[in-house]
Amino acid sequence: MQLFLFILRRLIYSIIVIIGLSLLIFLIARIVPGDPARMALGANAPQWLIEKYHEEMNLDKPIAVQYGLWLRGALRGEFGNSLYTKRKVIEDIGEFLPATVELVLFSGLIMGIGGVLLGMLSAKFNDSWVDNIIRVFSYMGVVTPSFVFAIIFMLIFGYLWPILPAMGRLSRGIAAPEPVTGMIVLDSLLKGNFPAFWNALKHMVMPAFTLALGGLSQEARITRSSIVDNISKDYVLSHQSYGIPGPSIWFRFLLKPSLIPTVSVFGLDFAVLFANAFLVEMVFNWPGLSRYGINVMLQKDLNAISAVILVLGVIFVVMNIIADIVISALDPRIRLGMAKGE
Amino acid sequence: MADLSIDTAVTRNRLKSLKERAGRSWYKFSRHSISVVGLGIVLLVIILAVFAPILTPYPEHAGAYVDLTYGSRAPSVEHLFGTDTYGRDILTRVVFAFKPALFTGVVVLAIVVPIGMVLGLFAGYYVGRPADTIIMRITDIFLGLPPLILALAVSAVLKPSLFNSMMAVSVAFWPWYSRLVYGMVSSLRNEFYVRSAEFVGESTLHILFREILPNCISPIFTKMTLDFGWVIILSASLSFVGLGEQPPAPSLGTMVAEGSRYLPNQWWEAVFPAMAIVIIVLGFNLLGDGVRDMLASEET
Repeated sequence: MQLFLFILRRLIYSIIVIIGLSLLIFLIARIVPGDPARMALGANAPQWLIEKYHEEMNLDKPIAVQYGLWLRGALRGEFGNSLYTKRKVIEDIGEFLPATVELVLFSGLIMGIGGVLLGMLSAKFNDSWVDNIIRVFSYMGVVTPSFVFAIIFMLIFGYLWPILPAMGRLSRGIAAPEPVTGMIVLDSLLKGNFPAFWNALKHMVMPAFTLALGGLSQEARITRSSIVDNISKDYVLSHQSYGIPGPSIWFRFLLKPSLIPTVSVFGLDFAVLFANAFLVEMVFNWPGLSRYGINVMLQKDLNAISAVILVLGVIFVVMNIIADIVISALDPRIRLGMAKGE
Repeated sequence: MADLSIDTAVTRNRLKSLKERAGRSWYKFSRHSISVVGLGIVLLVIILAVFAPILTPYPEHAGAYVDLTYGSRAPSVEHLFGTDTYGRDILTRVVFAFKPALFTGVVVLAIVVPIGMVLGLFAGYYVGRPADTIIMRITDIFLGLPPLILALAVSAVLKPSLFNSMMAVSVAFWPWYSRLVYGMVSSLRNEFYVRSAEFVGESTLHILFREILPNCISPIFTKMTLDFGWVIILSASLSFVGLGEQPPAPSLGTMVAEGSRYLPNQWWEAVFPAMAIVIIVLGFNLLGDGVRDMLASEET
């Protein structure tokens, strides 16, 4: 019941955030200095084209009406046509989103597992050289922008010691499997097309790893400090004094409470992966939503820009809800507090 | 005559205590020698940025300069970081790019901190009242998106330029300050000294800015030093995707983006500007950690 109330509160709250977000995006896109039509079509566009664009985008109506129309369209998934691809924006998103989702899922997997393992290792060998190396590594991970990692990895593993493909999702000459989910690794596995699966997986390694590093370092740092805090608590000492073996204490008693802060940061970091995908997809020529987003931004394609941002905003908000639910499942104290609205 | 000597004695005492305090702060700051390394990096970057025209070997390469005979040379004694496709010295351009990077950090913080601070002050002081609800809900909406996406969204609709990318980064950063200040103020408002200032009838502005604000300064200052690096990363990311400073002006993000087109053969074009970003951000983060150590232990 408490969990239900908590989720309900969270949902209502998220809807408010998303509506606010849509208003924000709309306002940024409309109250731009200058005529959006001129910006999108170029300074030399003929007058009739500008007028047609105004009509299509409802730019001649009052701003509140414009927002209402835009929101109604957005709820139905109608964002108008893209000037960049000349197609419906929603079709573009349908085509490009799976590639980004696939990349982010793999990246999240690497981030979560890698971060927790490194954090555990660092805590286990607290203040030894292992710990120090991991700490330096995670500090670098936090201060390095992901596009820098992308370039360095590409140079090392793509060219200097070429063990991984550096560009795109599949090598030339390998046919993509029929789309089921649009995620090539998963699709090729579903169809039993193992050469394509292996090839797609290899293409995935570098971009996913690059994207994961920032969050991974953060997870490692947080897991480490959380375990180090908990390990000196009385309950661990009492378990030790009962003679319970070390690994058992770690996995049965220490890990669950220690992972609560990690999970909450993981939720945020996972959503941030969608943002950093903008930088990583550019370098690896990954045909995902983010690369599409950059292209439409450079083209000033307002319909597509607002759609991309709104989709990412919704994803971000949903991720946060999921993270909150998982945390509340792990930590009864938070569950109780949040249901009461604290 | 006598008055004068008392005055100088007072000043001398003040100076002495100031010196002592500075010494104590420095001790706390430098306890972790890595913070001193951070300070060193930051000072070096500032000096290089200020004296770039004197210190760099080819200052004329900072702008639109083309000499294709020297195009795409690998690092050598004449060109330590090599040259780009137009024949410009990359070391020179990296050093010249420090100034806009630092400038961005200063401008963004100068916009973001006062706005976030004032909003946080009012929302936190009127906690539970309409002012709080409106300000903090708006803040939450802005916090509802990762900063990079927010900054991209804003710069996407503006003309790409250094100034507009600063505005875009500012839009992404202010809510963090209003939330930070809000959190502190909503608990400080129940402190005894605030209550007594209210009781004697001090104006709200006096209470907010003279009673409450001074107690929020050190966390704000710590966050500022730590954020400086993030602002630089964010604006470099914008210029990396082509939404920031436009060529031929030197900008680290743009240089990395341009260089990454010539990987792997002309690796130096992307790698050195990329390293420069990492070093600047590392410097500010280490410095920020040091400042946090310094101010945190001052309170306890």
